[in-house]
Amino acid sequence: MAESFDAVTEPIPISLISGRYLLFDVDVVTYLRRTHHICGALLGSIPQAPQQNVFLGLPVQLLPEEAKILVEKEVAYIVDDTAWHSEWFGTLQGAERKKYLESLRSEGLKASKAQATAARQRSQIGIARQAVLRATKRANQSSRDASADDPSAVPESDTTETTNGDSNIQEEENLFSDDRPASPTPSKSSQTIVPYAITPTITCSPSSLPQNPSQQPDPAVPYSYPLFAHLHTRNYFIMPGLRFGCDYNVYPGDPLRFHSHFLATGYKWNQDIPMLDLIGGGRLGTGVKKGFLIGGENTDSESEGNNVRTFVVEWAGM
Amino acid sequence: MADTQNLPIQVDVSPTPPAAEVKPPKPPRPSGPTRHQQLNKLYALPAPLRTFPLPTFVPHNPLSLFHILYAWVSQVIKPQPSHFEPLYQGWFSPETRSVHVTDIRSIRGLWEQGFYGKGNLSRSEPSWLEREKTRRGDKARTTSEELTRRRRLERQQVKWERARKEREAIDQRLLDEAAVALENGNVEAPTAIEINGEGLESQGLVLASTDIVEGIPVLELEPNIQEVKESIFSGDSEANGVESTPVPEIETIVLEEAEESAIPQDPSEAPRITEDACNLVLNGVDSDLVLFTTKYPSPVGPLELLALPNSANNSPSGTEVVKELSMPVITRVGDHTLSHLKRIPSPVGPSGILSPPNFAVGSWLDTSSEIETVGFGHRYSCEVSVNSSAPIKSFIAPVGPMEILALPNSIEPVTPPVELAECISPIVAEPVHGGAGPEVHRELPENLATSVAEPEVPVTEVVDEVVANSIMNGNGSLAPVTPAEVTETIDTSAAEPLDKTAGPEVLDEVVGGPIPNGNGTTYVNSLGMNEHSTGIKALDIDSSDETGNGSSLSEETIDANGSASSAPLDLTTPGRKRQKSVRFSPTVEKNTFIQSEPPSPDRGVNTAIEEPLVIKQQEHTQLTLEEAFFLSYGLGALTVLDPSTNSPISNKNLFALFRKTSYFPPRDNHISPDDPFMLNYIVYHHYRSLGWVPRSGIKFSVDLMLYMRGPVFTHAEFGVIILPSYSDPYWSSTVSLQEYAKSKQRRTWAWMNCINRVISQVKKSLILTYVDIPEPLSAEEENQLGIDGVLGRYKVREFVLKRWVANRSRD
Repeated sequence: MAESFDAVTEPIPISLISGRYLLFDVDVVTYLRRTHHICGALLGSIPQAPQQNVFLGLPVQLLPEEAKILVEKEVAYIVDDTAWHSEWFGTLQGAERKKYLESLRSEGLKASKAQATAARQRSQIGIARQAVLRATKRANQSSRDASADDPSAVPESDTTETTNGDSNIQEEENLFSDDRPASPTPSKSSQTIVPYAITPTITCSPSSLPQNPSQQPDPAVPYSYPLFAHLHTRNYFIMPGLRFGCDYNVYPGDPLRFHSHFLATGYKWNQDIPMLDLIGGGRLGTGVKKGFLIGGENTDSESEGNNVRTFVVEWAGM
Repeated sequence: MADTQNLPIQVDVSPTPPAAEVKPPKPPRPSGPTRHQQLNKLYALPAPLRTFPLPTFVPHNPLSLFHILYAWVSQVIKPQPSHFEPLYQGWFSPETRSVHVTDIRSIRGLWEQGFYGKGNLSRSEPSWLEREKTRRGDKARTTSEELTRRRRLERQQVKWERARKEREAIDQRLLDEAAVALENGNVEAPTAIEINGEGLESQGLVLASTDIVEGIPVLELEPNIQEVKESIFSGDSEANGVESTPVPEIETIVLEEAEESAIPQDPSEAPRITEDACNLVLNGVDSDLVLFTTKYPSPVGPLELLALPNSANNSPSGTEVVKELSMPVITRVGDHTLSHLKRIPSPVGPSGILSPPNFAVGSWLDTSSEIETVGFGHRYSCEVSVNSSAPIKSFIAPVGPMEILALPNSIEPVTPPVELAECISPIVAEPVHGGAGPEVHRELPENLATSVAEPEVPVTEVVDEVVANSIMNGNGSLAPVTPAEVTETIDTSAAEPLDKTAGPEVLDEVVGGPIPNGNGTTYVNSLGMNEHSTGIKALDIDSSDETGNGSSLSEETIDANGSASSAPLDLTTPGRKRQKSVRFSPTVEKNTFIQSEPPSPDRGVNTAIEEPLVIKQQEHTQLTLEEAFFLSYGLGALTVLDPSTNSPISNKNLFALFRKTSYFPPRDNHISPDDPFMLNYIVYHHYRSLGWVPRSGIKFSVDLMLYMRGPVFTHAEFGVIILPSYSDPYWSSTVSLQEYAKSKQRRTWAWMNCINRVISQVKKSLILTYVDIPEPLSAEEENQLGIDGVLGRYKVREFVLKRWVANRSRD
């Protein structure tokens, strides 16, 4: 962990892609979460389990508020990824380009090697397991044979079973040995076959993002931003609150360890708050054992600093 | 026909069928109509109108033709009015923006026909008079509100109980884990014995405390930890070669104010335990180490949390309270380094406060002499270690969440811990020379009594401070009041007797302390040693509680046989609920009473006059504007009177008036097609005419609730949200209008999720009802159109919304 944290250097580039603030580096994500209490929301589908959306992977999307607070703390800066990407790839010429493609290929080779090794291991384990099974079965059979009167039928079935088992193993091996050219079987020499290049999840490593960013405009944030910043300075962890019909879900610690304590909704200082919203929020909050927190920044007050005031609504008698 | 006319009036009369008169002797109760039948009859009319349908024609029965003919002819010759005569009456009230109905006939009638007005419980009736009678002392009847209240109370208590059990399970788990960890840990470190409050369930206080008393021996250090723990948990200490001491007499006085809601953990348990520990300290002459831990559960419930920082008899400052809490127990002598007992550092941030599992934070401030513990909420942990060779030194105020919470409310200056330490040290130190070994412990009652009798002066001092401080603590604090004065003469029912026994200082503090507080609970536990009483006494003082929310916490009979010697249990408090304290008149007017005489002649006259209890009916129903207008315009069943002129308002004027009043403040000349009254009325009329019974749904954060026949029959099935839809081309004609329409129509997904969750929490479905707003008309055009024409320009669209999660809705 420490190494990976060392690898993260502030300021961190946040990719702005079609209006979303995205992070692609898992180290950065962990670092932000630990150090700056920024959680974000995982977006990407997990390749191993593509048919569900309960567990998601990289990239992480940040709320505009989160992006803004990071920028304000000068922890991160925002990179317009689309523009930068076309610019960077446009300039990629000659030897550099070749080098880049080569690096992709070598990555692909590494990946295919790793895959092949894993497949071999798996098949060996499978064979071993089969052998053990067969041995135990034979032992059982022989013990049964000793007591049974008719020994002739048993070996036959035994042989058929073993052949079945063998064919199973072969099938398994066929399964495991990848016949795609991308991942050559270990029997062939990998030098002779040029592996396909991998398709990386990100087209460039985050370190290659521009280090001295052109000043991007501050992220446009909703009016609940002062409340967000207020809570964030109080060391709360904040997650988007759409699930509970509010702006933010406020956690006292890491959301992996704690339930949230508040459903926070930000208002402008002079905004009319509909009664029904208060009732609904209060009811919902109390129903899920949280407090319904409303707050806003007093823009009228002259005093400098934090002018955010917050209130918690709880429903009695539920 | 005649009795149908009376129907709205004769509600109270429960219809007894003729079958009831032909009573068969056998069944004890005549089988009257079922409740459902009664309700059906009562709420037979869906609207305050009567209809006269023709009888059904049965083709193969020619007589039915005559029946139909007769009904038709009688209607033609002498038509019956379909409205009730006289019409219902209501007063328009501009202040409340509603129509007040005050005569009971109208109220009942409207109620039964599905016009509920605003501000009622969902299934209650207009029963103001009965409630008033009950309030004034007519105990014969019970109102549905009372039932509801009682049911809610029970439910709340069940919830508390459940929360407590969960909490205890967690604590038990933690304890087990700690024990396992300890076994794996190094052995030469001193033993930490944790005694969970699990046995101390509120009803089983007696048993629990005895268990603990037996289970907390003075331990010698050489037995290995496992043995010790086993012995302690099993409560059979001698079997394992660990010496146990009979604990001397303990008296506990618990002053409680009935708190509004029951706190499941009876907080008086733990103080007693710590007193036990204190006694152990007293006895622990030859013991090397006593380590003792009690746990308080963290304050889980909202009430407890609320009570913490704000209660009036709150701690003057957290530090002091904590000191007091830990004072009797935390004494450490010797040079044991109890490194593994080091606790979490005092948390500051939100995560910090939460992170200690039991909110019990203790830390050893000074390795050489002090131990400190912090109690928080109703459980706390205390550690005691005593070394016989060294004198008992001190204890130190801990730093913890409790303190942090209590700080802003501190009233009194913080007493430096040194004073308390000095106060306590004589007490603790004194008996040390008295006992010399296990033999001594056997005769402890007498022994201790004598030894304790000596240090009277320090004891009283301690009592002062301790009581004062402990009273300050709103959440149960522990006050170790040592000796002998506080004894069995304490009457359990009142605060006054305290001064006889506990000395004037104690009285002052006790009387001054707890009573001002409305909700906090104060526990003053005084530890006294007496020759004969070994029981733990609880003294409950219930200060009058307005809310009268019967808290079960206050009274648990605490009756523990504290020591191994089987001394008689005495002075237990009656274990019943008390919500009020009864105070008798201080002046005695008479000493002899004659049977025939009224108890107090002067007052007897007064009461005799007041007896008949004539209560003016003050029931009000506030019809919403939609309901009133629907009754007046849609059904013609209500006359709305102008309060200034006492004359009825025509429908046309009523329409204009309601539209104006629906704004706040009311607008004079602004006629807009999307004013709130128009929207609400359109939707109300829509559903009402479709046969639903709409009702204000403000408590579920929707505009209307739809009932199938009425709240008495079913729960509401739908919640309706009214949304204006500016689909008319007029609203997109100019930019400003577009902006206006956009601002009116703007809703967020968060809002939608919130409402939908609330509605599905109460197992209803959400209907989004869009009202298409037409383009505005001038006043003259509206006049020409009339009410019908104006209303006819609106359209209603409905969408039923249901939460459907793809992942969860798979089979």
